[in-house]
Amino acid sequence: MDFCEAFVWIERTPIAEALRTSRVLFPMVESIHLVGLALFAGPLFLTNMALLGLAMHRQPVAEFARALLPWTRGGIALLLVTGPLMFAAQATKWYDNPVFWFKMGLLTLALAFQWRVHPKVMSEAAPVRPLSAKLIGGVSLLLWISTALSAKIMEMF
Amino acid sequence: MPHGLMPLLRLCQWLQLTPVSVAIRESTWVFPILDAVHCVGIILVAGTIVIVDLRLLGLGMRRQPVSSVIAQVLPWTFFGVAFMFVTGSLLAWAEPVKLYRSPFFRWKLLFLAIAGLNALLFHYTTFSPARARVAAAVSIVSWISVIAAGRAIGYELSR
Repeated sequence: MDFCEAFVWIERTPIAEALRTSRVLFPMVESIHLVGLALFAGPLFLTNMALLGLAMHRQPVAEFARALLPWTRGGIALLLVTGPLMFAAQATKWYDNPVFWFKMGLLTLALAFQWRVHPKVMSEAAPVRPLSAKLIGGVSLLLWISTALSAKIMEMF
Repeated sequence: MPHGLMPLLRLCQWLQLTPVSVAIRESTWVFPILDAVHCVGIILVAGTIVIVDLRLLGLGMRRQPVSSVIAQVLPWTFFGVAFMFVTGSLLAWAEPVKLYRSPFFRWKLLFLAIAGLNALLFHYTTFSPARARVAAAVSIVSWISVIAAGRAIGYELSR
């Protein structure tokens, strides 16, 4: 089974078919995706603005970033469940869309950065240097904004 | 439908023929760009206000007093509201007649009004902790509804 056949197979699964035939299922999944995005992006945006020195001055960034961690993780979980569902509904369409692959590349980078680099700012024992903090905040903002915008652009292709 | 009885519809029909409306509707890029910025704006509004709501519910940022969370987060919510409102008005200007006929658009406006009034009421009156929790729950539910109704408008109109 080559790559494209896998996409055809995904599109034929009962879940994917249900998402295509139902009038309400897809918009519901997309709404949950956006709610997950809000839950994740709100705190992340403010954390990154705090790292850049532009927001949340009344407590250490590490404290703010950790205070909402269960919720941002919940937000990511919602995104990672609903995203693949929306993809499955139209898998072959996305296969032919270059912006989709671009978005997946960006998403992989953003997630890797979020998992490996970003947590450094949450350490109260070893605070990051101010310059590294600015760099981490800036890169994270750029990665996630590009990911979100490419999601919008890929719908137009 | 007698025309004289539908002033709102006539206003929408008039708006739809204005040059700005035609220009947004007929351009390839303006409408999707406005749509993208509108989405980012709503995400920013809902994503920041939820931090205040979670604090009121005692579910996040408990080390900071409520007033401190509000003072730090709310300016960013208003920043998002500005984006959401400007782009939302332009998007509505582009297709007012469709939106006039869309039940989900009315739901969206209703939930926006509930979210806004709830916030104003909370801001300008004194709330007991229990009532603050109710306000937080109302806020969360109404923003989720705004997002869901907004998505529904897209699918409703494309059919």
